[in-house]
Amino acid sequence: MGGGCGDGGALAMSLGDFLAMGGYGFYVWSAYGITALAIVVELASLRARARAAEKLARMDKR
Amino acid sequence: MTSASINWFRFASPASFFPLAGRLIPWFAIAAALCAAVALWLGFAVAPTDAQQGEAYRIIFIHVPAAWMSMFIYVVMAFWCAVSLTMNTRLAAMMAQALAPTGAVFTFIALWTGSLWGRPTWGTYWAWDARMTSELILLFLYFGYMALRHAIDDARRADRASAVLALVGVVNVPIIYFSVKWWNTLHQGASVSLTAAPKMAAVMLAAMLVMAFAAWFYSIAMALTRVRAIILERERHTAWVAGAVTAGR
Repeated sequence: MGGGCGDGGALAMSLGDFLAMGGYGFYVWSAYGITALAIVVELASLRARARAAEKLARMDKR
Repeated sequence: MTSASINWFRFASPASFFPLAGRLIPWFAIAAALCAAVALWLGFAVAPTDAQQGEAYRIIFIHVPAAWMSMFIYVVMAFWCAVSLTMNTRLAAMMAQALAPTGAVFTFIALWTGSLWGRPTWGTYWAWDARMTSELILLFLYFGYMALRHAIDDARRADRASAVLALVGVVNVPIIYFSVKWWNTLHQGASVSLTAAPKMAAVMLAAMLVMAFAAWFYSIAMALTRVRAIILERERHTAWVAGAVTAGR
């Protein structure tokens, strides 16, 4: 019956069980963590670049 | 041609593309966030434990969309490079330039998540098999493309040189895609293909596909934001940029 993580579904299980990921917690959460980190780094660097470009364009115009 | 029809070639000019991109970005960003949230809900709350791989298989929900995106973005980048070389259009070169960092990010994610999935499933983080090696080469192609652009001061010369590099590198994409068929790889064959029924449960497939849509929308939002920055960087001496900056578009 499409039960989510484990038998009772994600809502029925404890947070600890959820984080443990059936013993694969390290691998699953590292994978999701690295993905989140990569996205945050890309967003931050792009934001910095966009702001710098806009600032330069404004300065050029005087 | 009626007067009501839209002249799409108008948007090939940076001056008219700049405000259009600015209007589109929030919608793609919202779509990306919504799809990612739905995919995470499907992937963690709805999809059952895999009979063979246990919970480790949940890495697949980001690994496969990231790997698809890493190849797809390269093909789109090479397409814009081809357009910029043959038609000598500025915006095409800028689009290619805007896509490269996002493509590199997805390649990085695909490699890392693959490694973290491989350890519990195959017993190793890395093997020099054809699929993984060619995906690593893809990462170096993105880095090479960006480094070459960075090394040439004249933007138009950088456009041409990096376009040639990107086009030569495009042969690597079919090698990645077909590597699991052509060689005996540790990496398994495709679970989802256009020619056969998917070899996975419907809800798992749904989580993966919705995450793939999230990756698509994210890439579009990032590429459009970056191309706007590139347009400002490269065209800031023109009159229209001054106008656009003051108008706040």
